[in-house]
Amino acid sequence: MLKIRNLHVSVEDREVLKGIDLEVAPGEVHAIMGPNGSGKSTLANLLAGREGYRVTAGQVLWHDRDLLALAPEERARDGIFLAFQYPVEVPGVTNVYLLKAALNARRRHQGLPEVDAVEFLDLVADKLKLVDMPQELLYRGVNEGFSGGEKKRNEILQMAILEPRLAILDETDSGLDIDALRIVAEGVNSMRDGDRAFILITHYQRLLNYVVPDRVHVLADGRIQRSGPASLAQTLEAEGYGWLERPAGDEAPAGTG
Amino acid sequence: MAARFEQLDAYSQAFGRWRDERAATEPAAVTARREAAFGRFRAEGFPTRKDEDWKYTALAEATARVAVPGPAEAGWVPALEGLPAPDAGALRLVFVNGWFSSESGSRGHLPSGVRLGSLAKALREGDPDWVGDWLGRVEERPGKGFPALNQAFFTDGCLLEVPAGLELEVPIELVFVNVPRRDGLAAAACPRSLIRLGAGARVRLTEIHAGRPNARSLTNRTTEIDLAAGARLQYQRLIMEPAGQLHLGTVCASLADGAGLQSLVFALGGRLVRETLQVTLHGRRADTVLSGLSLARDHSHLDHQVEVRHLGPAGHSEQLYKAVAEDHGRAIYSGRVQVAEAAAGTRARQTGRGLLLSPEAEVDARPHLEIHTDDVECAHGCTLGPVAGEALFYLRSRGLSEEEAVRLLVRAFVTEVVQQAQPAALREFIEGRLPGAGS
Repeated sequence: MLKIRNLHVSVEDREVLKGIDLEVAPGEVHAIMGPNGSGKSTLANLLAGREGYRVTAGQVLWHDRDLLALAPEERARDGIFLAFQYPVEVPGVTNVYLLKAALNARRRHQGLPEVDAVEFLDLVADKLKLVDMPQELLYRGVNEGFSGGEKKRNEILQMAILEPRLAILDETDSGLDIDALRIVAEGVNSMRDGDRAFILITHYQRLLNYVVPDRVHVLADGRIQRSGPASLAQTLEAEGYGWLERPAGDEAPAGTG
Repeated sequence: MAARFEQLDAYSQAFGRWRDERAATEPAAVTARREAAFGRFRAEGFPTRKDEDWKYTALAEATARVAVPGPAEAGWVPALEGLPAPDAGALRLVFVNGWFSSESGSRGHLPSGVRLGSLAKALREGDPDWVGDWLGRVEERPGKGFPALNQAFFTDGCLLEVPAGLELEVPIELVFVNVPRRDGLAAAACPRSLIRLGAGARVRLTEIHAGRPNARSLTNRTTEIDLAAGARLQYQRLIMEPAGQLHLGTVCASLADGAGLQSLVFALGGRLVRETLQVTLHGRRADTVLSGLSLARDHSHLDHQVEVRHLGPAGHSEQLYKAVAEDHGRAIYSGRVQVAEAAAGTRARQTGRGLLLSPEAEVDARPHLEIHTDDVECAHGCTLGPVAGEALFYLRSRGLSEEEAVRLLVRAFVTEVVQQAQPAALREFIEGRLPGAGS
């Protein structure tokens, strides 16, 4: 569904991604790990359509269409979801309003009828249980005054309601206590269904104890240095990222997912 | 300069005729005050960009026209389309080109002792007797040119007097509309209103300013408010002049011990709208909350000059002015707080926020503080800028179109001011005129 080929991306004349190759097929869970500044978040944000990036070479295909030509809202309606590393506070726009507007934008795009207020509240009630969020947070401004954990759970709530085809979680696990981490992981696991794909961007292996990926990629210095099975994450946890500076060993080459 | 002298001459001739007409229907003392005010106008002229508080305001159009009031066109009730519907149970007074025209709503619920009606009529009848004296106070009014011109040429307006201890459950609405003069001349509407609340009285008063697009008119209004101890006034203005109109307003309020003024102004349109609001807290523990919202689109220039003078101790004032500017719209907020030596224990805050929706739009927000005592808590903050890119991306990444996302962010930006408006129908009316609201 997603094919990234030789992707080079610059931010303010600094090359951040230096040739990324990655393929994600339906139903797969990919973890992208790497040290700070390796380009993980750039890749996540680029896929969601954030401005400020210059693609200098390569391409990104989404169901064989040029993903980079689509506006962020077109990507979202077509089933790409980014859980933000730093969810944005939007005071004055209620959480419930955004959720409903987002869901109906996606449904219109799918040719489905919009949900009315009653159907919507039924749907939300179920999903709130999944992320253990009090209903009261629905009626506050989007992320306004939410704790760090509440913000991350709100991202998972949005994901659960929008039911994307590809969910990209940008360090959703960082800063979470163990209970919140479990909730996030359960949210992801409950949505794995053989069709929906995930890209989990994380600095730590912790989340991968709960969500077992199909492939793990190590991103450093703008390139995928290693790719391997879930066990690669444990190697990283044990050895840190320092070993990356040594010549490549016998791991599989990058981007074979 | 020659042009200016010619213009003053034209004003002088017009004033001569006007004075003679008015002298026939009002006390000699009032006409004498018009004379004095016109003398002051002749001496000081119109402000120019060299005057500090006019630096940002293009006045050429306002001052190039020689516009003086026309005669009262009695009994003429223009169709009032596109205005918010009257508040339930409200008493609504309509003024056309500055003259009282008609009234709707029932006076049945107005407590006895409340005086509400036409200022010109009160002057004609010499009742109440304090009105003539009050009118002399305009000499103290802030601003150059226009207040004096209003004092010289004022037409009519609302006189509202509420005795001590009365709470008006009936909201009062004043609708000022400008329509083309029947003689085809450029018209100046110069309404003058006096609002006087006795100790502990409570009132909600809303002014609506509107007009026909081709009225070629200039509104130059003055409203004076006097709140006795503990009186509370909620004073709303909705200024929705058509694109070519010029609107200059001066509002002066004086607050005694424990009095409260909640002022809320919405500037939605007009070529030039400028309101000078001066609130003086004379008494102890007087309290004022001044809010405004400007929606500047096309070539509108919407300007708020706000001054709070803390003269008595332990007063409190809040200013919150927001502006949304699109197209070539321009919005200005200049907030001034003056704390006198006697005003110990004052708390004052000024906030200006501007949202720019196009590269050609412009918003200026400038706070000024002048403090003459140590025991004060004053704060100010002004922020201007485009829609926050982070929030915009966040909403779009959830599937909302850019247009819808901007519309939501604009709504979110203004809500703090809009939610203060009463009744709900007025809030909805304003929301319906926000950028992207599909009006």
